[in-house]
Amino acid sequence: MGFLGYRRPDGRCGVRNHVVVMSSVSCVNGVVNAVARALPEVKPVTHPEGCGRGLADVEITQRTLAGLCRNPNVSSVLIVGLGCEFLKAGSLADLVRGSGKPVETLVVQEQGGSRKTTAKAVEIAAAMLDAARSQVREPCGWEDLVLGLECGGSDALSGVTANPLVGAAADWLVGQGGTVILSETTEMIGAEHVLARRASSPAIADEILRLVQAQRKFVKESLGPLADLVISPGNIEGGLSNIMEKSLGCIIKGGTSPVMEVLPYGVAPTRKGLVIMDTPGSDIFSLTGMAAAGAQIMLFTTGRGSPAGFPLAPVIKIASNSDLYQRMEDDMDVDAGRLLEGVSMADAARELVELIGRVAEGEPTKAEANLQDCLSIHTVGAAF
Amino acid sequence: MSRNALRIHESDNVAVAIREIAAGERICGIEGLDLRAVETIPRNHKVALAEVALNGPVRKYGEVIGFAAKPIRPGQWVHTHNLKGEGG
Repeated sequence: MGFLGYRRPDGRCGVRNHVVVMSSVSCVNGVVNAVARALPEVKPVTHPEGCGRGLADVEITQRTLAGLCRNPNVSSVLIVGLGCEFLKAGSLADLVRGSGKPVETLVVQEQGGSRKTTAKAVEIAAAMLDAARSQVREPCGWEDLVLGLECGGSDALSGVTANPLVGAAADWLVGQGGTVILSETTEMIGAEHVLARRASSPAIADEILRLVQAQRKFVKESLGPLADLVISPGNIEGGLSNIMEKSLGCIIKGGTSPVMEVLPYGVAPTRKGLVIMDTPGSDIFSLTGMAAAGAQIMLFTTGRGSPAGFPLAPVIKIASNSDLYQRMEDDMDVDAGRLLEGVSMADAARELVELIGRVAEGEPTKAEANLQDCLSIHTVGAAF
Repeated sequence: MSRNALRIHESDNVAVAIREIAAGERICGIEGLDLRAVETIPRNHKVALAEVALNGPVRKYGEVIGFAAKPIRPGQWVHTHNLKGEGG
């Protein structure tokens, strides 16, 4: 059992077949956007990075962008560079070639400017689109699926309805041999002991405690007496009193499986099962990190109503309450508020798993239909 | 009466109001509990199901989410005004 997906040369399976046009540096974002206007089917990936950063951020940006290109939802990639930037199109392409998918580069200073580069890029991307159209879906197993989990714009019901529902789906996928990424380190603060209890080894328990305690220290240093309230005013208005309460409601998304691995931001898992990724709680940074790690589908719960999606992976939006589902039906895929009206967790979880199956085989999510393509790379240092 | 509150874990001493609960209104949906709200509980906020002494633990998800910053009576609203984090 499994789903029909796009089998990539590296053996991984895509649920989408995107042709990506990506900038290696923000200076050429205009070229990427021009290609996307000419060819609306391509997925443009632009960002504010690629130059003027410390080494740590160059490394993060490079591995994240390369990881996004390697994501199995991506069929082929055209990387546009400038020429004098720190993160070169060529070195980025080298990191992607190992995946076996087609990668091409264009450098604006070599091509003789924006317009000439755009014209050539449109030609290359159009050929990539033609090739992508001829690819067919093949049987893939659930063990090929990596689910990224996210909660954003939470309310007190996120941890009561939507997150436990996602936890049930996470447990199902782990049971099928698949992989689930639980992210948002900030939102593990106060709940790290619960995750450490579920670590698959004492070493991983230590890693979890070290990771979350380092984040706790960082938050305390940055926010001082406000550290307990490192949640948005909307969260507090929604009924969550502190970060511990929010964290417990957040980590419920990961279900009840053992934690197999702790990953740095944007790095692909080497183990199946439930893994933890070190990301900020801020939604778009977290989605980007999990997609760079190879997540093909994201489950995103929201209580206040985040419409955010991701350009390269379908994001299934799960409303924690029926009011939100009805108010923002154009943005929400699932109404977890029905759990308060007599629908059983088992029935709701079965419906969610069926939806994951349909989305894996091509059914567009609301965020995809709305082109809510949000992407941000989590950097750690200053700009120079 | 239809449910107006949900206790997530059986060891919890707070429940989540799934709609606004008026002062004096019975808390419905939690087995074996005979309790009225002593003040308005905003929708999605927490209501105390039992007495919590000063510095006593407040439990949700079966875990401690904080400590009473002042004594909390059953039926009271529990939020940032009477709940503090990490024993501080």
